[in-house]
Amino acid sequence: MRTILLVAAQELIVNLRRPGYIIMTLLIPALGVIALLVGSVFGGEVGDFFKTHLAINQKPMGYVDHSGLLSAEQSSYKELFIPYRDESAAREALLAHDIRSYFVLPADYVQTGKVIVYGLGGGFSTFVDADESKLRDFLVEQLIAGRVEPAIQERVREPMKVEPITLSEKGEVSTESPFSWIADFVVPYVFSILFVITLFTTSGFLLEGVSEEKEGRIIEILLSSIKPTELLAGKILGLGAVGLIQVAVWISAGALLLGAAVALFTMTGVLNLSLSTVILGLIYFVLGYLLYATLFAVSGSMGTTQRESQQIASIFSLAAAIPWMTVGFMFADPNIPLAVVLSYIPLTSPVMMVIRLGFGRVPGGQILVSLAILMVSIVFVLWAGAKIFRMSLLMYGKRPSLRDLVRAFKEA
Amino acid sequence: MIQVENLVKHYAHVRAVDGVSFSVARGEIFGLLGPNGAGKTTTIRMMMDILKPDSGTIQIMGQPASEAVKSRIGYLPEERGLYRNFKLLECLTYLGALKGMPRKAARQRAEALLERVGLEEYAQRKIKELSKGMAQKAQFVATIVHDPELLIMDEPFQGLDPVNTELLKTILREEQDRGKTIILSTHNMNQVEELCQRILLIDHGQVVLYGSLDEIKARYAEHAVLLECEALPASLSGVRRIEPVDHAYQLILEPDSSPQAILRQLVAADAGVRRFEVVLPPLEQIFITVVEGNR
Repeated sequence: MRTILLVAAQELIVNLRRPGYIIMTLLIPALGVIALLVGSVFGGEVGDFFKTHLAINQKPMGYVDHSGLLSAEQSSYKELFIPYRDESAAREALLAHDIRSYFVLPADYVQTGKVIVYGLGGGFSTFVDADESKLRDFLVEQLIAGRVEPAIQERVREPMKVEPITLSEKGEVSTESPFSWIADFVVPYVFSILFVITLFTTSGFLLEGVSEEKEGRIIEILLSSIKPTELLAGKILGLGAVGLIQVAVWISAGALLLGAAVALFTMTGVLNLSLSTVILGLIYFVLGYLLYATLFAVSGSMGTTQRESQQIASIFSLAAAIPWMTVGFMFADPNIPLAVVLSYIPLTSPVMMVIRLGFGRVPGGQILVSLAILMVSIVFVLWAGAKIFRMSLLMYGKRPSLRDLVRAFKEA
Repeated sequence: MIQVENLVKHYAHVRAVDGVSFSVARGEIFGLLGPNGAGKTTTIRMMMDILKPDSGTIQIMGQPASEAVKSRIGYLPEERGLYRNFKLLECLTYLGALKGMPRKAARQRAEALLERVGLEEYAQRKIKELSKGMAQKAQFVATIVHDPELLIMDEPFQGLDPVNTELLKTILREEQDRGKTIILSTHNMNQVEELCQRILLIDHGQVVLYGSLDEIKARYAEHAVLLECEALPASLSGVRRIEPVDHAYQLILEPDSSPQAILRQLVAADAGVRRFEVVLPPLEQIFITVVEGNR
């Protein structure tokens, strides 16, 4: 046990000093602080700045009306839409850059709904104009002007202003703000991304370390002092602590930043991440780490060079990326069969479950089955990994063949 | 100190070590020799409990090869290196601690040894900044940092200049004087002749020569004497032929003759003998003869 702790302490010290680790650990909270400062100091000015400087084109739009429907003079949009008597005048104004584009309402517009939009400089800017909500609002206003009372006109223009109210399990009205979707989805989602970053950063360090020890021929000296399993255990323990420190820094920084955001922007109910989600997330992190760390350490021991080891490990990284590909489908239903299946496969379940936990309610039975399969798999991977690790470490200049791996299981 | 009995190890269908037995006495420097692929490294790795033997027994300091025994052994493997990004002293302290030393004691011992090999100025330098020779000396220090009772060294002088080779030989002799046992594996037969009292020669996984260096050399002696004298007698009975060698003569003897009989004749003839010695073959010659004879 003493040697395991010695190796773990050494791994902790060495990896906490890595510039890449320090930058990554501090960069994420630093970005959050910067975002918060920009938001609090500049506030709406930032939005104005973007509106003024980055809007596509602030010039008005021209139009030629053959339907006799439009009358911009009486419109609330008269500064945005300028009438032209015919298309040649409108075209001239467009070419002179007096207007950003113009549209033509044919005589049969009311029957067909057809609107022809002319613009300069490629199809996209023309399309953007055609799709612009202001144009739609202008046409709606003109179509119903004088035909219905002003209040109805206003409702046609903006039929709904949604006020979401959430009921608790007991049917009571929740006091959550409309921003609570941030808590329900975005916060756990971002957390899951950071979780995966940490998982693979630390497992990657482990692979790099083992590979370096093998490539640098240190391994035989280490094995003359400790057992391969002790070396493996010490490394997994030490780098696990490195990963947990990173996660702890990010969670603490995240909590502080969200607290500050709530105070600064008087947002309420934003930080609504349930404790059970955090605990389950951490359990999946630890188990996922154990699985991937062992696989990466074994990959590190199998390759003859670091690059070769990384190639072997990329098979596992690829498997871990699969859950991200399903995210698009999960907006509609986080419990789609594909997501459930991926929650049971050990290589995908840690990432899949963290994402699903972020999306919403995951049945408890699925969590239990997923955790059970994951734990059994970890026991197997540790057992098999230790055997392959032991055999591969002393194979220089040659990657173990399938036959070697079979022999490792028989002999060790 | 070491008792190895009938050690066997297979790799797939190859019998890498095939019934090897030998013993090493406390306080001796023992040469473990053999051509490439003979089974030396596998034998050493089994002694270090890095590999498990298929059969046979190994007793080190009266115990089977185990973790407890390992901490009393200093091992310098053929395939070796140190953490390139570690500072030298930090690396040595870590390796000492892994062998069971308290960190502080490991650090103090490492500092003393670095001074002994002239690397004290480099204690805080990263290992990747050291020259090849310096790294070899650092590696040597890493092997003895925990003051082991038994040293197993595979090509310890590899990559060293004659001055540093001599320095490490001196340290090895000092370690022997302090009662340490040393197993030396090398292809440099001059170093073996200089340092070792007994040797084991393995080929194709089997023992082909084992015993005291003097006995083995005597066994392979060519039945000849080297003579340096003022006047060579006109005739010497029992001598098959005489070959001039530098300022001396090599006398090849008849099978039924002896060096003593020749010396008596020389004294009787008042030849003015300045040098008279039984010709022993160099170990390298014996190595080649035995290994080639085994092919």
